[in-house]
Amino acid sequence: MSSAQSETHPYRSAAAQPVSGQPRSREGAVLTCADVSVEFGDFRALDGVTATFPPGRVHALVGQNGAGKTTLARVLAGLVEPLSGTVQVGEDLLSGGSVGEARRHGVELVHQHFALPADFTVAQCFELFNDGPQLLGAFSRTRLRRRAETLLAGAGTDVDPDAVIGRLPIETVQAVEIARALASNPRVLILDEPTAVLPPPAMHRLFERLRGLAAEGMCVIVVLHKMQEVFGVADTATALRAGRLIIEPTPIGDLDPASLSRAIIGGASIEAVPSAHEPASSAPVELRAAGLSARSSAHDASAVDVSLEIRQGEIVGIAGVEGNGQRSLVEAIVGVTAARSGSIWLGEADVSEASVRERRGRGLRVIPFERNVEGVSLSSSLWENHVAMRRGRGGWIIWPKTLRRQCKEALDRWKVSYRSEEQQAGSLSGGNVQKTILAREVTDDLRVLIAAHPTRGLDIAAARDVRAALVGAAAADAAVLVVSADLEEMFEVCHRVLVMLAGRVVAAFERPFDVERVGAAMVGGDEG
Amino acid sequence: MKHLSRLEAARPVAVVAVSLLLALGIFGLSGYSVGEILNGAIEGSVGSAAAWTQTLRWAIPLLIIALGVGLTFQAGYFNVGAQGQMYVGAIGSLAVGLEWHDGPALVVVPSALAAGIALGMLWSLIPGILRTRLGADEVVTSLMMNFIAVLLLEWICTGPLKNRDGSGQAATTDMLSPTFRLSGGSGVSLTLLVICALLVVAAIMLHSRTRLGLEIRLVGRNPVMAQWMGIRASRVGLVVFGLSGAAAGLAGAVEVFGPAGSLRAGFSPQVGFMAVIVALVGAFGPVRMLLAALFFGGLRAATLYLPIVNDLPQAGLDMLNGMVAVWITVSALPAILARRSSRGPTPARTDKTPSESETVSAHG
Repeated sequence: MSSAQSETHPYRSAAAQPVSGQPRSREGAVLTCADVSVEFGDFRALDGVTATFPPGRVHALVGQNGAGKTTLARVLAGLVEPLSGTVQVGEDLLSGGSVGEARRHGVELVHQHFALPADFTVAQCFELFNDGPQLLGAFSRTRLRRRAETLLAGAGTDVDPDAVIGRLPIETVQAVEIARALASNPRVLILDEPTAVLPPPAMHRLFERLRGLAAEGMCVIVVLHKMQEVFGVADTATALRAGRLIIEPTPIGDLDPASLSRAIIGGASIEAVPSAHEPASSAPVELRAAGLSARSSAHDASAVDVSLEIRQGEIVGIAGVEGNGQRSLVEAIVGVTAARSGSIWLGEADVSEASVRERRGRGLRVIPFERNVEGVSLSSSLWENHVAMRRGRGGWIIWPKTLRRQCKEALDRWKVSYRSEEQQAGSLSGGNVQKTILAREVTDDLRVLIAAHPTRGLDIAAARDVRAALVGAAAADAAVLVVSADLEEMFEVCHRVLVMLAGRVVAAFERPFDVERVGAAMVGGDEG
Repeated sequence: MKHLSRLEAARPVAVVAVSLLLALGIFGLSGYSVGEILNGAIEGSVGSAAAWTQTLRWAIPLLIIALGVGLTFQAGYFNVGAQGQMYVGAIGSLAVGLEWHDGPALVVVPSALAAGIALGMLWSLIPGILRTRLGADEVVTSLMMNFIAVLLLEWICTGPLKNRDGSGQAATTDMLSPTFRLSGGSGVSLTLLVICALLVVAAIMLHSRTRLGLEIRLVGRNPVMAQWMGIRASRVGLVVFGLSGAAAGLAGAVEVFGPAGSLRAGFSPQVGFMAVIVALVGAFGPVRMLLAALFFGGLRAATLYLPIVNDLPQAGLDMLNGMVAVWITVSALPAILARRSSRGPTPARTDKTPSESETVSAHG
């Protein structure tokens, strides 16, 4: 690693300190995979991947969505059994496809979407994964608590062991998950896209922790998306494209962001989205929330006393660490959660008491948070998904042939790649699913578009199409509200950005945006 | 993808076949002649005009009830209260028929059927409302409502509507006026067959030509998404509970106005449960459920016939039915449980985002 990089990248400055107060030596191990191939049905997710990850380093695993990063991480952790090929930890050859075996050999995986049960306390979670000898599974509360305290301290976090997982901020849940993974004193730690949910300061802390673990001798493998993060934390980078190894683990000093990006994308260049025009200051307000308070039934903070106005043609972003009330706010605006107080207006109409259907009838459209849960029914056909939206009074009789034709026209217009409108939505890729949602929601009578994490998990090209759709909706005089954890994306498309913290809108920013200031506001202004 | 779903549809048929083979194996091991039993079963179900009549006689209530419970299953609710809904439907229709015994048949019979339908619907809406408003598990409540209905029927037959002139051995009610009957004692008539045909056509139309059919499927497959789309899952739930109870109530009324002519405590045991199996084997498709109803009607006819010719104890046939029920439930349960776990008074959210393995299955 060159010294020039440590200056340009802040994450490195505090690096290489052992994690806990009490330095403990960790025994790392070299992790090797040889000629690993994985198939899901006809799809080859990994194709003869061979790589060696030496201990004492942070290895970044990069690639587009669907390139096979997560699959490789899962093969290494024993979660996916490879069709062929071997995984070796140190001198030991794993038979593959067994999490228990991988863990016995010291390989731990921290999942992309945390696998901790939301209703459990931190201490209970640790007990879940405790492999030690137990008498009939009996445990004592105090012993459990003490063990959790030790483990948390060992991982350098000071979380209350009695805190319930579902009530913790996402960053803390991640810290608990990492502490859980470190509990068995692993030789190899694999993290699948740990930064996707973190604001900049928390990411900074995570990277320090990972560098500390590597400094203690552990083999750390991190799946990452962004070049800045790769060059900020990793010692080596490994790139996958369409299941093949494009760049074997290579010291970061021998790479540069531009060439690495090109290798990942495979030469195709993606043009930037033309930015939306400033809305006229006289444009009428399409969406107004006044003193809105609501609590989602999902794990999220309540939205507290939120007021906002979005004019025709305006794109407003809601930034914030996940779990700070964004979901509660969006659900209240859409109408799936009742507001506790305050009012919601669509144009001139007060819809505070209106049903989802009435609001949709007034031109409200949504790209929901979880596209596979709230956005589509995976086991239903594309045309059934397309006509699912209820707005106003519809007839009781339907004409499937007409509906299928309408669906086909819309999907073709949005360039969804599909075989037949009878195909199940679950058989499409994430990007295509998102486009089928856009095809349904962005119609001529669109007036307010709520887009929650619209590009999460999409590859670069699909993400660009979705952003273009948001800008296009604003250009067609809709009011657009974007909730995203991706600040870069938000800065690219939004006219204004509001920051939510603990359920309240705590700051508002206008163009040009300053990433440092927005990032600081997301965590309460104590950093940055 | 398509061959997979065809495989899924074929699974219940395979399950039935395996159960039959197992049962025959057990009969064989117990010393019965498998050949004779098979012979007897075929004779008793399709071997003669009388056998066919008996098959149809049981296929009719099975089909009517299955068309209803199939809807609740499609919407993701597990209504197992058809037996009780059928009983209250029978009670309601008989009460109208007996009270209004001197009215014109053209008025009395439709009113009596309507009363049966209405009572069945009300009986079914109780677990339906408990489910959609309070989140009470409908499997438990609808099942328990069966016991209430069984005892209610027993009380009706021994109390208010008891046949005073009867021998007193079996608790039965007075007979309906013969002019009201939709069929003779055989339980098969053109009227009843036409009613069934109309119901199948209505079910097909509901399935493929109405907004409700579409919404029932969407709610069953993804209630959370339905809510975000502006569909009220709880309202759809109430509608399917109502329709399902209505169908079971009609089946009860048909039983009274068709083959029975009166009520007897504990009549047609197991029909409500067997109809659940018919719905599952038929995978909720109206035509497939019709075929399944014919099959299970035939099985029922055979099981009534076999003890006479083969000296096979009734218990052996109950075992066969039980085996089919267990296998079919086990094979269909994972899908139903998966659906049920994703619902409640306020829909729970699964934290499911596409992982690579999920999104790629696509290309397969």
